[in-house]
Parts: sequence; structure tokens; C-alpha cells
Amino acid sequence: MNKILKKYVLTFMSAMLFSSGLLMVVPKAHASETNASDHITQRSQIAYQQALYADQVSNEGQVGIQGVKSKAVVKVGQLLRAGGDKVIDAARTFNIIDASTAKTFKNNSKKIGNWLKNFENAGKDAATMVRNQLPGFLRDNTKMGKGTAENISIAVSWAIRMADILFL
Amino acid sequence: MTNLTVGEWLKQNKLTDNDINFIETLLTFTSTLESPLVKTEDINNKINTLFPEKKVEIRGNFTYKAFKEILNENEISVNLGELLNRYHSQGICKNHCERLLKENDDIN
Repeated sequence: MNKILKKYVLTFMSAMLFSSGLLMVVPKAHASETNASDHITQRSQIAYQQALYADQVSNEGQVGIQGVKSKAVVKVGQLLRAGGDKVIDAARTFNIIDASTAKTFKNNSKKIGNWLKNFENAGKDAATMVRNQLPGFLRDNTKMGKGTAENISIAVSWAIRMADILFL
Repeated sequence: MTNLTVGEWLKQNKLTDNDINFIETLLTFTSTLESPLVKTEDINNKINTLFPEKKVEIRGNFTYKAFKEILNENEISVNLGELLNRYHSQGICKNHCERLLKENDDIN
């Protein structure tokens, strides 16, 4: 009887231990899967955020370096590097500059066209920046008088501001 | 007249870079208007876009009186006759300056 009772108790306890073991293992397995899933999700989010951050940095960098490209400055620069006739003829046609200024402008058009490359990304302030800085550049890099340098700066600034009507 | 450029003379008269740019834009744009190729409406839109803080509305023929009124309305204090004579002498918008000055019998 005792043997039978012992067997029964042992069987019962084994069953209890087995089932409790199962109960212990299943949550662990589930927890392990959940953790792995969470981990993947977290890694994905981090990767996504890193990619997003990288994009933002890249875009901000691009904006910082490139700015807003001014079609007007690009066009006027191209025309001046090509000899400047179209810009200078327009400035003469509309009586912006006199013949003497036009001659000096023509002789320095390529130099001014190359210098304008510095302002291709200056956006809406390009014409004002050119007007304010070109006299200094011409004073330092040519032998023209300061009045002529100012006239040419006014004409280039006018050409940039009128470019959409006259040249584009 | 002294040996100053118009820009230097305007700075000596305590005008800001923005006011100088505004005057030059107004002068060159209205000179452009003397050609039928350019519309007054386009010039008004351009000036108002470039200088949103300024009050400008060009109507029909741009006159010396209209120029003076725009300067007054925008609180830019400068002798317009001398300004136009200086631009004329320096070689900027000569025909336009001459026409405006003749209207006011103000040419040197």
C-alpha cells in the first residue's frame, strides 16, 4: 500500500514539477521572443532615427553649402563670361550706363563673370551683395576709376534684378 | 562737385546701404520703363518684392515730382536735384536723369 502510495505521490509530484517547469519555460520563451522582437524594433527605430538624422545633417549641409541657387546670377555670369555683349547692350539700350562705362565693362566682363560665381548661391540678396562688394573687387583687381567701378556695379546689380525679364 | 562717387556722397549724407540700393533700383528701373518693352506693373511688382518695407507705386509717366514724393514717403532725406545731377555726371541713367532734371528746371 505504502509502495502504491509512494508511486502515486512520486507520479503526482513529477507531474506537478513537469507542469510547473512547462509553466516556467513557456513565459520565458515568450519573454525571450518578446525581448528579441522589442530589441529588433528598438534597433530599427535607432537605425531609422540615425538614417533620418543623417539625412537631415546631409540636407542641412547641402543647404548650408549650396544655399538657394540664383538663376539670375548664374545667367548674368554666363553672359559676362561669354563676352558680356548681351548684358552690356541691354544696359546701353535702357540707358543705364554711358558709352565710356560700357567700354570698360566690356574689357572686364570675363573677370566680373568669373567673380560672380561666388554669388550663385546667395539667393535673393545676391544683387545687393554684388552691388556692395563689386566696387572693392574692381578697385583691387583692375585699374579703373572708382566712379566707373560703381557704375559697373550698379549695372551688374540691375542686370541680375532684371534678368527674368531680359535674359531668362 | 567733389570727387566723391554718388554712393560715397549718399553715405556722407547718412543714407543706409538699403536706402542707397533702393534709390539706385528706383532710378535704374524707371529708366528701363522709358522703353515700351517693360511694363509698369512688372516694375512695381519687382520693387515691392525687393523692398517690401518701402512704399512705392509708379503710375504712368515717372516724373521728378513722383520721385520726390516716393523719397519723402519713405523718409529718405536727400537733395534730389543734386542726386540726379551727380548720377548724370557719373554716367548712370544719363538720359533719364536729364529728362527728370529738365522737368524741374534743375539741371547743372
